[in-house]
Amino acid sequence: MTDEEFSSWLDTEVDGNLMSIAQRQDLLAQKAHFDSERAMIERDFPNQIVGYIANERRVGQEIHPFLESVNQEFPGRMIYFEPIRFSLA
Amino acid sequence: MCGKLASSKTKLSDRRPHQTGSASGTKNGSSVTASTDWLVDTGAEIAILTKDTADRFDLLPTGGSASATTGGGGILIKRGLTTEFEIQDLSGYAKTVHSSLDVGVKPNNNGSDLLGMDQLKDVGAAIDWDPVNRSGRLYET
Repeated sequence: MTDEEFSSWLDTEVDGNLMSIAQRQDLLAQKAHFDSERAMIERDFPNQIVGYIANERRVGQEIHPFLESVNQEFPGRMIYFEPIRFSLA
Repeated sequence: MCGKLASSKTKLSDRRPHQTGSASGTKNGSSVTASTDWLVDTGAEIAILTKDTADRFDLLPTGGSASATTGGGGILIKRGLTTEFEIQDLSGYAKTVHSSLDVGVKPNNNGSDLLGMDQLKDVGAAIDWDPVNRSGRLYET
């Protein structure tokens, strides 16, 4: 999914009242952090889940413990993440 | 058979395991339950719903990814949905189980609603599946 497709999707979510404007902005801001470090992330974190939340990078092995951990650390904030060199489904 | 798996109800040639179950949550403060044909996906680490299924509920978005699934597909992570499906318990009887783990939501309605291995682990279940005869079961471990 391209940046434009992702951004457009979030617009659709906001338009449908499925996501707030603030959540959209937060998620895109975290994606921008991820994208700015993408080369390093893909080099240094193969086979791990890497995400940005509240402008900080977090790394995990399994999706649910990862999500649980970051949501407890930063309640109410959005995480942008990608599994590096593998897919979740 | 309890916890029965079968081929897709809408695509009989499909050799992947499906089970009719449901998803439940709330919409505008009222309880909502939606029937769904789960594809039990041993390649999925998280349950992933089509947009139409997810949009039947008020779910809390907590994150997302533009590249999380095979082929570079994106998902949004959402909370507030409970999956429901049937397994065969240790005594051989049917047991309805529920999982309220966060789910991924697709941007579209392509493909199936996926029941991932996270959900099976959460309820303590395993899968038997015969792709030749298109039959199998989910069972308690």
